[in-house]
Formats: sequence, C-alpha cells, structure tokens
Amino acid sequence: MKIKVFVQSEALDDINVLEIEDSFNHKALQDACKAILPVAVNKEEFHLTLEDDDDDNSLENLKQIPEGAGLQLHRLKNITVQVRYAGRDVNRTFKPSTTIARIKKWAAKELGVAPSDAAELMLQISGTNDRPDTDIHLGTLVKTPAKSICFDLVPSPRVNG
Amino acid sequence: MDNEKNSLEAHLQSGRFLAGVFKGKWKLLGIEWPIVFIEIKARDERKLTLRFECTGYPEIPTTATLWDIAKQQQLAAEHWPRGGRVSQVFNHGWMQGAALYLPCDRQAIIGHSNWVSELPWLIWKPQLGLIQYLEAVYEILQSYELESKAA
Repeated sequence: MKIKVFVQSEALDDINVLEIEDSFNHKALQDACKAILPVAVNKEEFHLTLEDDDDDNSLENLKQIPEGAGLQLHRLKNITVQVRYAGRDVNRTFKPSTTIARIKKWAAKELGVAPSDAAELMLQISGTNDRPDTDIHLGTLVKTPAKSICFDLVPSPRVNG
Repeated sequence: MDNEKNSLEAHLQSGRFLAGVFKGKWKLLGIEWPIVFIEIKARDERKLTLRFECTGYPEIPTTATLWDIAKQQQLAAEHWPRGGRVSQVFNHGWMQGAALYLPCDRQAIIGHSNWVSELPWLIWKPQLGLIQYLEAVYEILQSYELESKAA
C-alpha cells in the first residue's frame, strides 16, 4: 500500500512529501529519500533518522513504516543547541530530526517555565527575526559545516494597533 | 486566474500543508475558487472553519474570516474564540469580523506599516502563502489564554 512520508534535510528548502510502499525495508526507504536530494550533494554522507526519536536504529527496527512519518536526512548525528531566556541559558545536543516543538518543550522544562506560560513563548533563531514553525526539524535549520544553533525564547506576538 | 488557482493547489499539496493535516492541525474542506475552506484545531480540540479569499494568490495576501459551513455565513460573534491575545486576532468588533487581525492578512495589513518592522515574521510571504497564515492562526489557538468553549 502506498503511504505518504515527510522528508526534511539540510539540503532541502522545505518539507518534502514522498509516496512510498509501506512494505519498504530500511534500504529501500533510504534510497527513496536520498533520491530527492539535489544532485550536487554526496548522498552517501547523509543519515536518515525518524522525527523526534533519539534511537539511531529506530528505522532499521521498524516492521512497517508508519503513514505520515517525519524523516530527516542529515550529515551530522548530533547538533548542539543553546536556548536563552531571561538572562539564563540551557544547552544540550539533539538529533537533527528533532522538531522545534520538542526543543521548546525541553527548554521550557529546563528553565522552569510552566506549560501554560510556555504556550505564550516561541523559539526565535538568535540574531534573526526567524521563528521556525513547530514541525520544522533542527537539521533543516543547521546546514553543515555548522554544528550548532542558538535560540531565544521570546514572547508570542500580541497583535494590536 | 488559472495560475493563481494552480499556485494555491500546489501549496495545498505541499509537504508543509500535508504534514499539518497528518498531525491533525488542519484539513482542507473544499475549494470554490477563489474561496478556500480550511478547518483548524484549537488547544481545546474545538474545530473552526476559516474561509479564505485568495484572489491574486500568492502575490496578493489572502484574507480570512471564521465561517459557519452549515449556515453558509460568517460564524456568529458569540462562537468566535476569545481570551487575551486570541481576542486580538479574532476580533469580531473590527470590520464586523470580515478579516482576522493578523499582519499576513490582506485587509489587516492596510494602514499598519509599523507591523513590517515590529512583527516581520508575520508579514505575508508568497512562497509560503496560505500555510504561513495557517501556522500563525494555529499558534494563536494553542494559547492558554484561549477561553474554553464551556466557559
């Protein structure tokens, strides 16, 4: 049966939708995903990982690819993240397939921000006006040779006047 | 007109839009060009229908209001989401609710050139189009300032 999966990468501009057979093994899935990478990149350098999953072997162990799975193709295994808020900062490494939503949840917890308060905050890439959507992967934002990224936890907009 | 409709359909088939569908954030209800109906989910599981008017898409920003599909009319004011920053965007008292008060809305941006510098990430981007608008509305509807429907 054909299913849709969503592929992100440091080498792609946006989330790509791919139709594949749900019976694909790990190798077939990797090949299908790498086929959408630009011809200029060395596809052998890219690792395929499952969204918000810290286990590098999850995809190999899957019996069936779930419909709607989020996937990331990246050259790095880990990316260093710093989140700054109210004069404090927290740091750790994440897989490139980690979503902005998960990083925000982690940072809020580490910084002692209650979930109700965290709902009124967003992650903004430090030194920019960019506030990536919650479904975007860390690896989509950090392009090799960069290995790290810094975010500020900032208030969500209040649209008035 | 064909180019405008084709551009819209390309965005509705994009990975970013379909990923949102799979995550239960929104879903397409129908297209009656240049009108598009999309259902979007709030933090309290409430489902709201947005009626987008897409003339000139994607170069000209779209504009949207809340819609009552069954009655084929704008959603009655008493059913609009409210509370804190939610009420600022879903402001039925502004233009009788003809548009949401968002920088990426075609009608709201008029007369608000200050938003370009104050809220740059919410200024309409043709390459993201309607998906940018949906992401902005979805983020607002996840606010804890949203008053629950039962309240």
